[in-house]
Amino acid sequence: MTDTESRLRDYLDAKAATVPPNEQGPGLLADVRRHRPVWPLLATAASVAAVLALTVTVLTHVGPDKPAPASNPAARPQGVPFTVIDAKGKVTLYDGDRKVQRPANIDSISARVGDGWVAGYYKEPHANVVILKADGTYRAIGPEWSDTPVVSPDGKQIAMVVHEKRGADSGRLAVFDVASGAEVATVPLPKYQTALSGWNSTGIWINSHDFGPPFIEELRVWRPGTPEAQQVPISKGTSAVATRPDTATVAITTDSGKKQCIQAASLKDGRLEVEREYCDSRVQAAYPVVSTDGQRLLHSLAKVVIDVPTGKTTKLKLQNSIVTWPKPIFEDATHVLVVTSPKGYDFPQQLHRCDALTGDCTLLRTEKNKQIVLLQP
Amino acid sequence: MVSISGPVRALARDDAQTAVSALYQQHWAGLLRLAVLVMDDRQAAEDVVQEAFTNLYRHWPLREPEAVLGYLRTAVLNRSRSVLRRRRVARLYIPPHQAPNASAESDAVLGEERLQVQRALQALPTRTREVLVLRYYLDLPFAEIAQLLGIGESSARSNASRGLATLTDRLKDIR
Repeated sequence: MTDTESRLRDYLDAKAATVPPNEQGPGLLADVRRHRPVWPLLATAASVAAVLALTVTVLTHVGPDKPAPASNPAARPQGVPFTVIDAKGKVTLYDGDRKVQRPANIDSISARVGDGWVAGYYKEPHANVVILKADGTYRAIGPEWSDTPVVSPDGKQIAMVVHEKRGADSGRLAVFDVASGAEVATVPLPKYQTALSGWNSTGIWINSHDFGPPFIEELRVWRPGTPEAQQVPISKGTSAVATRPDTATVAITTDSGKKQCIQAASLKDGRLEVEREYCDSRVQAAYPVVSTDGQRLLHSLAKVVIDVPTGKTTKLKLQNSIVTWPKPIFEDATHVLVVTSPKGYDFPQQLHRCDALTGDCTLLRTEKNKQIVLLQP
Repeated sequence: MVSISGPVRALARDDAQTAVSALYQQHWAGLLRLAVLVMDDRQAAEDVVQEAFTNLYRHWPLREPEAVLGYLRTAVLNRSRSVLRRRRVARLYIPPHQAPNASAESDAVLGEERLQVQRALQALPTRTREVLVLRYYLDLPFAEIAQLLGIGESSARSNASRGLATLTDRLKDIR
């Protein structure tokens, strides 16, 4: 037996032993999902919604089950929409003065666009990208089998991956005009399964995995109107890319096996030029979050903000752990909204606004047993 | 006219519940281990195993009762693959490193050496990972692996061979 085989057997046995042999399941007729925290369900539902599809004509201007009137939540973050999800999966979207009860079959609300929000429609076996409006109605944008929508920096267009058939690994990237719904640009995508990381002043960032997380096989950037997406060299162990619309900065997570780092970089002459790197060997993974101007990064597991130009770090004064996923979000250049909980994945959840310059944080909202999810403004 | 379909069906359901409940007691933990090894996500693994048993209950009795463990393993692997496929399409919604239910505690139990293997294994294609888990955890012969996964025996062998070679390279890289 080779060393690799020995190590593989050892790992598999150790990992399997995390399930004790005498452990019993919840029972044949139990509904195991009912008692779970909601966000993994959201993630699963979002992924399902992102994969499947529904024809545009069927979806256009579909009415809501029960449109909810606008109201004024007592406390809310400025400028950043968010959703609150209760234990039964009921989702309420807050955005400024607007409050929307998520209609049936709508999921994965991800970003503000126009006077509404980008979301996914899912009703087995159909799904599509939609724009949800404040009155609870929604309209489809883009063709069937589209997923991972990202909004252009000017908010007038949405890019998404269009699959040629359900579950297909290959596809194309297409851009649609929000107002008219018309397709305005497209480019073929590489063979690997592909998702969009964001759209900033450099272009649309495309990452491709072979099979599943954690590592990105290829990173490309495409400026709509050009003939092809440009491949950007990345090191082995790159696993996450994040950006914001009004900056050229991208944040990436790298893992050499010995240390895990986040880097702030921008595209120069076809390559990522790293402007700042922050490594923390004490934490398992790094989840980069970029400020609106690209000048700061949040390392959410370490609760540290890194100033990109100077390298200065600011520890956020938070007692609890930051919920790393769904991710925190900067509401401007110097203030970041974070959700915390005792262990980083449990309840109660608290929404804070933190000053990236001083580390001071203000509690905005507490949810005893509901999940708070911040969305892209 | 009196219908007897209700009582008969109810009795059949009782039998099915008794039989599948016994299998549930016997195999739940083992199948959960298999799903955890393929998906590295305890919570999703529990859902997958539960769905496999629920489906078995719906379709009970099987035409070949002796093949029930194979049926359950295949169901767990198929559902795990489906979860992973959905997840890779929607990876923007999933943390890049941690599976949704991964915990610092379980990783601490594993230790750094094993975490290296875990990371290298996770980076393999799903099919290859399945083959390696079935071969090196369950010690199944390639013929049975091929049957469970619905692939040829030679394909199972080549997946194992390629997977081990890739693992070896990746483990060297991170040393």
